[in-house]
Amino acid sequence: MFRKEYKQANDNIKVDEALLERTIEAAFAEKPKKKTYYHRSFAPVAAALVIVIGASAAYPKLTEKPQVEQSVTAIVTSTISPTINPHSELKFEAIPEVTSEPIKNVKASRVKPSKNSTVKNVVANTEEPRINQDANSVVEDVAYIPSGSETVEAVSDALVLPSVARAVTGEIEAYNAPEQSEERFIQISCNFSDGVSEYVYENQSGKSFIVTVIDCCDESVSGLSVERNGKFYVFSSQNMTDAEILEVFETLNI
Amino acid sequence: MSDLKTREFKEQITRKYFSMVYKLALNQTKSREHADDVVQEVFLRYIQKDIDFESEEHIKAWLLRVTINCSKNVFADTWFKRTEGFSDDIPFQHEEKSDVYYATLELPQKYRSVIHLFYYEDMSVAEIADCLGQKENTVKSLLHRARIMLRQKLEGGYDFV
Repeated sequence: MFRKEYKQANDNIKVDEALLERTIEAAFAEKPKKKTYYHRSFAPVAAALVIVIGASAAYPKLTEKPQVEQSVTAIVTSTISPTINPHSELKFEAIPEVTSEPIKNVKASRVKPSKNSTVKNVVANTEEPRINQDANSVVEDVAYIPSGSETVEAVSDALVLPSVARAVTGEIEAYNAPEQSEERFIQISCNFSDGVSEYVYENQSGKSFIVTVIDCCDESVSGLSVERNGKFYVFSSQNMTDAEILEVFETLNI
Repeated sequence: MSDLKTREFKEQITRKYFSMVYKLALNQTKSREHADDVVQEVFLRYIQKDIDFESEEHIKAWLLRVTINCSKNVFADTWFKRTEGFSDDIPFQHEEKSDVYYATLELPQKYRSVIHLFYYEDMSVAEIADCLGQKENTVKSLLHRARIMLRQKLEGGYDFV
C-alpha cells in the first residue's frame, strides 16, 4: 500500500521538458575550458604564503639595531689662521652610524668606534683661559684657543667640547679629566661634509655624544653658549647680538 | 563498448533517465530549484566526461550515485544549512497532494534515499547497497528505521511491503 501510493505520488511529479532540452544542449555545446583562478583549497596555501612573506618582510626590521644617540649642535666661527689651509690639515674619518643631520633629537647610547677610526686625545690648552662673560650662558668655562694652532680640528674641539661636555654630562671636569680617567672623553671618529663636521666622543664610563659643527664666519674666538629649545648652541663669538644670533638660527632653520 | 560513448547514445540515455534523476534529486533536496541544478550537473558530468561504462545498468547505477552525491554537495553549502527546502513548490501534475510523499520528505536524507530507491525504483537491498557504497546490513537497518518513522507519521496502518 505504501509502495503504491509512493509511486503514484512520484509519477504525479511533472518533469520540465524545457529543462531536459536545455541540459542536453548545454552538455553537448563546446565551451572553452575555464581556468580556475581560485578554489577553496587555495585558501590554506594563500594564507601560508601571506604569513611567510610577512615574516620575511618583518625580519630585517626585527634584526635592525636601534640607532639612538644624543647630539648637540654647535655653531662655531672658523678661526683659521690665514697661513693655514684647514682642509689640508684635517684628517677625518667616516662615522659609521652617524647621519649628517645638524639637529638630532635622539636618546644617548654608547657609540662604538669603527675599526679604522683614530682615537685622539683632545686636550685644551688652558694657558690663558678666558671666561665667558655672557650672563645668559650656561657654560661657565670655555676652553681657550691658543693662537697659532696648527689644526682647525684642535681649535674646533677645544672650542666646542667643554660646553658640550658640560651640557651633556653636566661635568666640565669630564673633559679635563686625566688621561687614565674613565670620565675623560675621547674623540673616536669624525666626519666632514659640506661644511658640517660631526664628532663622536665617548668615555670609558659609557657616556657618549655627537657634536655637529656648523661653520659660520667670524673672526673672534671666545665662546658663547645659547640654549634654544632644549639644545645648546655654542657660538665662537662672544660679541654677537641677540639679533645676529637669531639670524643665524633662522638661516639654519633652527 | 564504444557504442556507449557516442553522442546519440548519450542523448538517448539522458532522455531515458532524466525523469528518474530529477525525482531522486527532488527527493534529496526537497526543492525544485536545487533539483534542477543537480539534474543538470549530473548529466553534464555524464555527457562531458569520458567514463568507461560496462553496460546500461552500470550507467543507471552511476547516475543514481552521482545524483545523491551532488545533492549532498547542495547540503554542504553553508547557506543551505541555514535554510530548508521549500517543499510546497514540488511540481505535481495534479493538485491533490500525497501524505505519503510528504511524510517521506520529513525523514532525514539518508533514510529518504533508501526509501526512494527501494519503493519507487524497485531496487533490491543489494543493488541499493552497491549504489550507495554501503553494506547490505546498513541498508536494511536504514529501511527498518525509516519504516518505523513513517508509521509514526502516517495514519491508517500502511503496509510497507
